[in-house]
Amino acid sequence: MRVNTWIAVAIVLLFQTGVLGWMVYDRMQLLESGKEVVLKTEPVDPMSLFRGEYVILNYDVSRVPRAQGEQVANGDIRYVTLEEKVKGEWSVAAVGAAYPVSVASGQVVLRGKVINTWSGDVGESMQLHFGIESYFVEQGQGKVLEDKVRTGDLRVIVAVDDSGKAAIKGLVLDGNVRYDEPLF
Amino acid sequence: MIWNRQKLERQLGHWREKGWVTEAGLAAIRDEIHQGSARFGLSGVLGVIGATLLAFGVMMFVGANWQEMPRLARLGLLGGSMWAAYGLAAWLYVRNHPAFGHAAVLLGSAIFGASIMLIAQMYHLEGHPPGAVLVWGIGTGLAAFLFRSNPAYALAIALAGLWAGWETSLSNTLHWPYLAFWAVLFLALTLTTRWRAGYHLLALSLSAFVVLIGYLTDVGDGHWLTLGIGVATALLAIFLEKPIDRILAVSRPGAAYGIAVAFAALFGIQFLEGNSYTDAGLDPWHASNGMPLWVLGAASIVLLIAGLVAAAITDNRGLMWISYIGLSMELLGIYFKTFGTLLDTSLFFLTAGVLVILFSVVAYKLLRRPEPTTALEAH
Repeated sequence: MRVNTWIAVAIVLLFQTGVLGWMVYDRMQLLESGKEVVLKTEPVDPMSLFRGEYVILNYDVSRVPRAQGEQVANGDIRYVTLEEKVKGEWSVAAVGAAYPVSVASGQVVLRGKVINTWSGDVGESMQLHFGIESYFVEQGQGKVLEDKVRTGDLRVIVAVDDSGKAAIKGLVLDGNVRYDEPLF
Repeated sequence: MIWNRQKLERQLGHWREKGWVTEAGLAAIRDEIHQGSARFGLSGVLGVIGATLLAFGVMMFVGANWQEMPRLARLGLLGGSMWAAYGLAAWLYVRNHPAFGHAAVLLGSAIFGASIMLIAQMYHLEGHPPGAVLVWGIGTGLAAFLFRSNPAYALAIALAGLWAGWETSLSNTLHWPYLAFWAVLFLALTLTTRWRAGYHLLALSLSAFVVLIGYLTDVGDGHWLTLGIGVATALLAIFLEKPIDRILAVSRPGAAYGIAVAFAALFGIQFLEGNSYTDAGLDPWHASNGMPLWVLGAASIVLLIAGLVAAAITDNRGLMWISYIGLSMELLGIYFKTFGTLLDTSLFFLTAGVLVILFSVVAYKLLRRPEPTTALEAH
């Protein structure tokens, strides 16, 4: 089977450029139209092999309680409903295995994947990943950011769409809002 | 391949002496070997190495996350170089430089992967990293298929393995969708270049998967399934050699991979799973599943000697080496595992030695049978 060389180039470029274009489009949609929440976090500094330096972010709302005796396996999906009880302070209002039927106007629902569970004296709880746990920074900046945070306060601006998918939009470091440079 | 060429050179002299090839024929053959290997071998290899170096440079550039350059410019740079690499590939193919064309396709596929990583980085997209590897592998496999590019096939097969391995390590269970991707790559390779090294890479990758069944399957003892698959593969490859090779000439390496996988399963049961004799109160002469070690050891030796016999009859060098290496590993394994009970170990080795020597005498008598003329016809 032999394909004309120029047709081959066209198909490969169409597919590969299409994949990249879709990735960018999907994120931009989410960042532009998603609801904004601000979450408190603490970073730890690791290094990703090809993707340079990044900071792992742990959120206060990542660890949520689970019902007594509720069977949860790693990889299960849970929906966390957040509420802005105090201005600028989002906290957990409810946790469920399905997307809530009705969401109040002041609420935002995050879709999370269970990565760990605990039980014992502290009560039954589980750790969730929302897909917003990595923040990539320029080479050498990971440690700097971490040091700044040790003394200050770091919050992350997150955009959330109607299905609970989340994306990082920017950082708030000691009250200074720093949005990520948009693509266009 | 130098060693093959030297051997061929000796044989050519021999054939010339016998008058099987003419002087003109000899010159033509030498010319062909010389041209083909020098042009394809060296320039192709250097081209692929160059492309690999460039690709790593691009990935490190992404890794540095250089903020001086705006996001859009970085993305444009990667996208532009990806288009340029494939455009260059097409131009090289059209100008009839396939070796350099393959190197350019490899570079294009690598930049595709780097671009996926860059976009993930730009949007702090943690997502599901093995999923990104899968998408990269699919794009690379598509390029390999359409351009008939062996280096790109190698990258796609490696990415398929990386994807399945990553998924497996995350979930600690076998990643069955791997088999579908494997089959697609196998089919694509068979429809296009039928590159032998590519089949070896596919076989190695699949063998690793089958061996992992033994360690990751919860139902029963998965090693028996691995053993069964290995033995069945070897038997099919040996007894259905002709019909298999009529479709695709893979029966000979297939037999070697089958024996290797079957032995890997037996080795795992005997020496790698669970308790070793250092665990308190456990008898070194029993495997972790409770079976007597001498039974498993004898089964391994029978399997490997059967491999050697099949190798001798079918003149299968790969199978011969696999069986020899397996036998050495088996004997060393038993020696170390039962080190605490040297007398029993010695008895095992003495018995095995006597039986194997008896067997070799029988084999000698049996294998002497074929007359020289029939042996020649078989070649």
